[in-house]
Amino acid sequence: MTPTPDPNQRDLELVRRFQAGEEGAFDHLVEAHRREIYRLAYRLLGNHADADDLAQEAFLRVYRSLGRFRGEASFRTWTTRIVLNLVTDRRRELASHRPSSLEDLAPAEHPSEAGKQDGFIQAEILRRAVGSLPKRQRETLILRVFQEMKFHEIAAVMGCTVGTAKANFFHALRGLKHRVGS
Amino acid sequence: MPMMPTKCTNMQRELAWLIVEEDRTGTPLGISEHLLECPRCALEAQRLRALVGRLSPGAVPEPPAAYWQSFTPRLRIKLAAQGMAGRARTAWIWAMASAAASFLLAALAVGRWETPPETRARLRLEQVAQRLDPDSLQVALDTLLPETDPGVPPGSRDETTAQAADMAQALEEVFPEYESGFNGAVRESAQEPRDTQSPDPGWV
Repeated sequence: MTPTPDPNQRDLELVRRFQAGEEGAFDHLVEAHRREIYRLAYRLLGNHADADDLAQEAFLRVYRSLGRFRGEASFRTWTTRIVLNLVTDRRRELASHRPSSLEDLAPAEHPSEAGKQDGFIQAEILRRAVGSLPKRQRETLILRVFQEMKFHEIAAVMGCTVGTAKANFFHALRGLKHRVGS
Repeated sequence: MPMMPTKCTNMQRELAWLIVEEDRTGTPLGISEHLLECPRCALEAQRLRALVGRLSPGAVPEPPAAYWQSFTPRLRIKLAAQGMAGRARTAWIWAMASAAASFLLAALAVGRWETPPETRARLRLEQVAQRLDPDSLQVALDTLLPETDPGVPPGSRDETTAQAADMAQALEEVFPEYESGFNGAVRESAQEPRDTQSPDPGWV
């Protein structure tokens, strides 16, 4: 049985091959990361259309910048940072067109279907509460809970120390608890 | 509301570790012990853990397989539409730039492209002039352009004429169009018998 390759090593190898001119290596990177990128975008934007649009845009940026990627951070960290930057840009763009606060997430798709499920209202409250957290707390929470990143990876993505990442996470949980009243 | 003990405040900052159960082996023993001793912190940890549990990672609806199948082809279409083939374009620009740089380096090595003909002529004349002492240079110039000073010191004619011929050759090298009676006259002068004392009227 062949051992499972380390995803970071696999990514670096694919990046190296792309930089050496092997165009198909980019497609392999997309295949390996598209779900995670899409899910992160969905978590942050709240609907399929925006998540799809942002995931595609993220990979376009990856393509444009991949030639300069030096592997100082992992490919996953790098792409996550790209997604967070794009989401920030997107929110800023939307905020400039909409006077109301966008701190809360967009409403869930198909609420009528989801509403039939037990706990939908609670889930919706929680989702909106996550969306109302301060930016860095919200990002930290999503990266840790939904993307299942380690704190040292979050610190690399956010450009902060591990201690700060943990503090952001802790404050995010407390803020969330306060908002949902549990 | 009673003040929370400092120990509890500090402890709760560390709860993030426990809540997501990351690096359990690295959890300081003191935290676990405190949670056993302190009902308030234990309750807080329990609430936070429950909260994290409610943030179900599976809440993002999975798009259909067709979506994933079309994901990369759509991306490729966008790349092509944006001319990115940007990478190919960049590669082409780099290739052109490299070729241009190589060409310039080669030209510099040959020493032709960076020096315009006028400059080369001047340099060549300066090389010749540097081989002449000031008096001989004056004589050479007088010989080449006798109307400026017709008096040529006796006895120096042969040497001066030879130097003038050298300069004329330099001029001819850099200005081929000077292959004329002017340079020809210099060469003829250089071949004249040594006893010629006066300037050749034919030069004038």
